[in-house]
Amino acid sequence: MSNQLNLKRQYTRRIKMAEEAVLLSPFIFPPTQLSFELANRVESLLKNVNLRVVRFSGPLATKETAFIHLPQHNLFIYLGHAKKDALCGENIFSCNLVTVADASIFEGKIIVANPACESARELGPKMVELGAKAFLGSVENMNAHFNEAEHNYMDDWFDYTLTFYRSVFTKTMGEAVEDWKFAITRYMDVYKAHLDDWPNADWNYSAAKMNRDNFVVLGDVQATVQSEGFEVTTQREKGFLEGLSLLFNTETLRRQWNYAFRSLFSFGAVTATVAAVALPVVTGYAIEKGWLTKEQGDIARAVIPGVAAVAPSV
Amino acid sequence: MARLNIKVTDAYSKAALPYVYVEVDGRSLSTGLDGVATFDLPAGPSYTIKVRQVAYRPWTRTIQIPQEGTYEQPVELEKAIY
Repeated sequence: MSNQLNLKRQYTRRIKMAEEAVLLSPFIFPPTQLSFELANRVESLLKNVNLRVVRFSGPLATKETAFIHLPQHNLFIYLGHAKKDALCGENIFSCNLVTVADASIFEGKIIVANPACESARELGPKMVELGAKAFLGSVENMNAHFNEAEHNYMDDWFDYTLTFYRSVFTKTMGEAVEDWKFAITRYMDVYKAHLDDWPNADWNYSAAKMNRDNFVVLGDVQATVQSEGFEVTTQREKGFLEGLSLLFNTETLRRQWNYAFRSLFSFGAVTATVAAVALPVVTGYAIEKGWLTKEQGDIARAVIPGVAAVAPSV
Repeated sequence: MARLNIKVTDAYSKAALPYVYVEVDGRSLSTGLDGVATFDLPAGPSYTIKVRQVAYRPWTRTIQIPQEGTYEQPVELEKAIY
């Protein structure tokens, strides 16, 4: 019994120490379909190092959803289109998921924008200036790689980007960027060796070089995602007890209630119900009390469903 | 001689892409404002076309030009940057 209690305490302690991440991955405008798949793998990585993650993809990757969840997370990850002063989100034309005007709400957070173009030019510096712990992004365009006939460059891209994310979750931000550069250099060497026999090696070499050379960490290079004393646990170690405590802790229940409540409003169900029930009753009451003229009452009976039943004409 | 017109467009917007680097077996040209690069080549052998533009996925194909005449080769480039 005491062993069970100790085990429960241990899991509870680990869960409390686990930090959380919000992960956004649009997928409509090319090539975000590729970064969406990459985000699937990043999400798995996060879970494997016991970082709880809230994921928003496609049309759900909006400013509203991101900002509602942001206060509860210390790591913000974005994979998708961006420009120097904004992360675009799903709509690359309005491009306003996160702009420099929103920079102050990232105070104390770590922001990772990879892949995302040019975000470290203006958006990153502004966020750091206004209190973000660290910003990791590129000052230039960032390229995807593709699966070509002679070689699957996309797999290489997934591999070197996941190497980076693995380091983001377990090392300092400075080390993560170093690991990123080292992993890309390895693939660049391979492409260089195959310039003559892989028809698309030239472009992929340049694309990888651009990704490597323009990626920077702004702010605290010593910053880490994990709290001090954090213990990395694997999925296998997590068991029934953790599942139970996650299901029934107050934070989970509070969030489930929030989701349910918001979804009601988002579909207009509450508004529609109130309008459908209250409007005829109130109008009928007003007719009976004589607050409306006979003409107004007739019009109300004709155009508002239910009024005729509540206050039939005499 | 055969004439090869290579027309380069954006795969998403279908807009013509000017100033794109086009290489046919070592001979290189840039597309004009209409997105077209024109090569005059001897008929007979096969040719490898490489189309390169920063921000777009590389495009490489081998084509046959069996006899004299005018050939059209459409090239749709996919975005490669975020």
